[in-house]
This record gives sequence, structure tokens and C-alpha cells, in this order.
Amino acid sequence: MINLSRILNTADNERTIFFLRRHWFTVLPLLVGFVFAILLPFAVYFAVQYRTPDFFSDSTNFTLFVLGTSIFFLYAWLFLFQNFIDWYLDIWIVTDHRVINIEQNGLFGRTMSELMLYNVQDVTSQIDGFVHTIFDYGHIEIQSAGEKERFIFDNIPHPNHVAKRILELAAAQRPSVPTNV
Amino acid sequence: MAIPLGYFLIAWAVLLGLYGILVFVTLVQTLKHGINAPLTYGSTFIFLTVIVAVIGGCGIYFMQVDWTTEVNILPASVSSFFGNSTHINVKELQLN
Repeated sequence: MINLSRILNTADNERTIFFLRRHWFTVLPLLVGFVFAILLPFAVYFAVQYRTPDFFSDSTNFTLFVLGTSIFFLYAWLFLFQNFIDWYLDIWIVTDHRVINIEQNGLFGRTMSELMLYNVQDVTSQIDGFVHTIFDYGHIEIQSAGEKERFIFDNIPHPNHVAKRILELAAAQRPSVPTNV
Repeated sequence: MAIPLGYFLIAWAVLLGLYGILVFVTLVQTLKHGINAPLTYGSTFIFLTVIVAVIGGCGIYFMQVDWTTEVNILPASVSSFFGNSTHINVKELQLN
């Protein structure tokens, strides 16, 4: 299990500025889908009752229905939990020294990377679409010096504010450039 | 063509066994990579509680079921080729 206090470098008095996950709204379609999946067996039950009222009076039919429904519910519940885990284990941590990216890809894929703030060259925030604008969530791309790969924060809340703050922190971490007179 | 209802229970148990493996793998991943926080433990507890409640509820119901009852798995028109149709309670037949 990941202990946050072990990730942070206490020797440098590193402080957590942002602890980010994808916006809760991105999980909502999954929850709605799950509710529909749960209601489906009940809908089937009432539809069959309506069409053939005697169908479930036969205990054999009802037992078969219970067998099917229970296994369907259990797998739907597991599917929901695995998707929750996928959301829950995607974390972006911004400290006053670096950016840490922990991403869960499916059940077995896991990526953990970090970027020192003094390497940050450019931070771009992006909010696309009506829903993103209403709920204020979107993407952030962090371009680092000498690195081809970009850091991407997916669907995080308040991306403009976070991007601005990362730029401020990066500027504070960069060694001051002497100016030629 | 009729088969005992118990066969469906065996199929259910096989699917439940596979489910158990998937749950185990999911829990290992969750507890290995999750943040050491109350939400990790809370969500895992709720996940397991619901599973135990569903399986327990089914178990209580299944104890009252007569699994020797035969179920016709083919339509009556097709079943006539196999010389058997409709549900037959083997216990009732034995009693008669």
C-alpha cells in the first residue's frame, strides 16, 4: 500500500500543494450505467409477470431467475468496483518541488513518474465542451525541458488554477538567471 | 430434453469460483497500490460486504430449493424428439 508520507521527501521540507484525481463527474456515467444494470433484472421480472403472471409461481423458474440474477449482479458489482479502482488509483500530486504522476491502466498496468518543477517549461490547461465548462474540469499538459514525453493530467478539477499554480511553483524552483547589463 | 436443476447450481458455482479469483486479484491490486487512507479500506469493506450479503442471501434461498427437479431446456416441439417434456419432480415421482 502506498504511504504518502514515504513519497514526499521530508528532508527537503517538501509540501503537498495539490492532490488530484479525475473529476467526480467522469465517474457519473459509470454509476448511472450500473444503476440501469441493477434495475434490468427487476424490469425483466416485472415484464415477465405482466406477460405471463403464472411464470414465477413455478418455483423452478424462480430459482433459475435467482441463479441468473445473482451472478449477473455480482459481476456487475465487480465491474463497478474495478472501474472505481481505475479512477481511485489515478493520482497526480503536485508538491513545491515536483510533480508526481501515478496512473493505473486496467487491473495490472501501472505507471509512476515524476518531474522536477525546475524542468517545467510550459503548462497548458484545456477545458473543452459544455459539461467541462459547467463543472470546471479539464486537461493539463506539462512540457518539460529536455524531455520528449509530456505530463498529462486528465479531467482534473479547476485546471486553470492548477496550471497557474504549477507555473508559479516552477518559477520559484528555477535558479535565478543573471541578467547582463 | 430435461436436466436436473442442480446442473444450473453447478454452473452457478463454477461462475462463482471464477468470480472469486477475479475478486481476489482485484483486492490484491487495490490493497497493494491503494493509498493508505480510510477511503481505501471503506470501499473495500463495502465491496466485500455486498458480495457476502448477495452470496449469503442466495445460499439461504438455495437451501430450500429441491435441486432434483428436472428442467426442460428445449421447446416442447423439439423435446418431443427426446421423449421428455415439462418439469418433472423426481422426488414426487418416487413418492407416487
